[in-house]
Amino acid sequence: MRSVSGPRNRLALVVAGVLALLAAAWIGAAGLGLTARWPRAEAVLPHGDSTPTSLAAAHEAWLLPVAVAAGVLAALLGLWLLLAQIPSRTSTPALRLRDEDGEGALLGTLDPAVLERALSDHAEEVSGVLDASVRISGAASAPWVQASVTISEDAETAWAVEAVRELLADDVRTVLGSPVRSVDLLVHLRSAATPSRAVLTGAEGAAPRPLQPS
Amino acid sequence: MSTAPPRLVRRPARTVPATLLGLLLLAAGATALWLLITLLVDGSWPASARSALAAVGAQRLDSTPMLVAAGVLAALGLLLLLAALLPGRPSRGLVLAGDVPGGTAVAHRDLARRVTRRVEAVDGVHSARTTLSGRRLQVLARTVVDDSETVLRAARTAVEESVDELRPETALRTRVRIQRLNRED
Repeated sequence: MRSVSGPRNRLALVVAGVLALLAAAWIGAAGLGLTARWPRAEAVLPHGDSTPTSLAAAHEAWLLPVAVAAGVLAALLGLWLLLAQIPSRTSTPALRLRDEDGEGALLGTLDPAVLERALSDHAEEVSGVLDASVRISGAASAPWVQASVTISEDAETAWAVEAVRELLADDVRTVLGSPVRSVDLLVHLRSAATPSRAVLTGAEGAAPRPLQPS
Repeated sequence: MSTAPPRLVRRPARTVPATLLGLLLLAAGATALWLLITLLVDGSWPASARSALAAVGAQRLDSTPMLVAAGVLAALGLLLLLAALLPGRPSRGLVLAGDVPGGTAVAHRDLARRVTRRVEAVDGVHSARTTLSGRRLQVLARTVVDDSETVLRAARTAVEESVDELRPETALRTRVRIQRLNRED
């Protein structure tokens, strides 16, 4: 299932927010005249009568290379952050099939994409399912199935969901010989007709997109 | 490396503020590099930016424009922190718990659309609007029928049925209202 890393985004936002607040406080310290009240802080806090030009002249020796490095760093971080917003998914290693005790000789390896395609095709045969996409992760001994199915709103949704979940669990157990650790199903409800209005407030993000098997 | 797949129901990834921050960083970095590389190569600032840089460079740090800039920076920092620290509401909810291990999720948007469609199928309903905010599901049904109380009861039943069929794991508080339209509308 494709996703964007929330913790990574939140960490970047926290770091940028703290840096912006520190910069604002540094400039604000000049306006409040903190150096006059607290002489020991003169080494890091500016005077109110300082100007950017005078500060640049005072620190000419190191300011230019540091500014160039900061510019390169900012541009690279910006580019990285933009690229990180493209939804991605972790690569799934090949499923290694071993003999029954799970510790014996390697019987063979299975490309998860092959099984994912077969499961998607099988799930689409369930009545009411318009489209299906399946993703296998974990190990062959404890497979984890994530599927995205589009179900017609005119269909019996509860029945179709249960049928797809049982079908996926049974198929994976049949092929890999191990019970599934979990079957996670993301359901999209679709209909040919569009309603007059359906408004969602207080939640972020666009409608989830169907998965594409690799 | 963790092999656990992403959870079905999760907090927003803050894609919009992160994208804006990325654009801001890229623009600031590119502008800084353009100015500094020109300074290093030509020995002076670019002609198009010279007057602006001279004006900024001459500002005292305790001058009003610089304090306004500090205020803007502080506001930006607070906004970024709030965007990061506020958890936000998930855009999906768990439904239809069954015997097979794992969960089933449906987008709140799809649920709202399903409810709207069911209410619009009620006899006497002209149109409907569904708003799903957190656990509150509010439906506004519009009708031209004089006996709006009957339509309201039918709409309420349709809403409850359409929600109950999906068996949400977090119970929704539904509220159905009726609005009578004038025949000329």
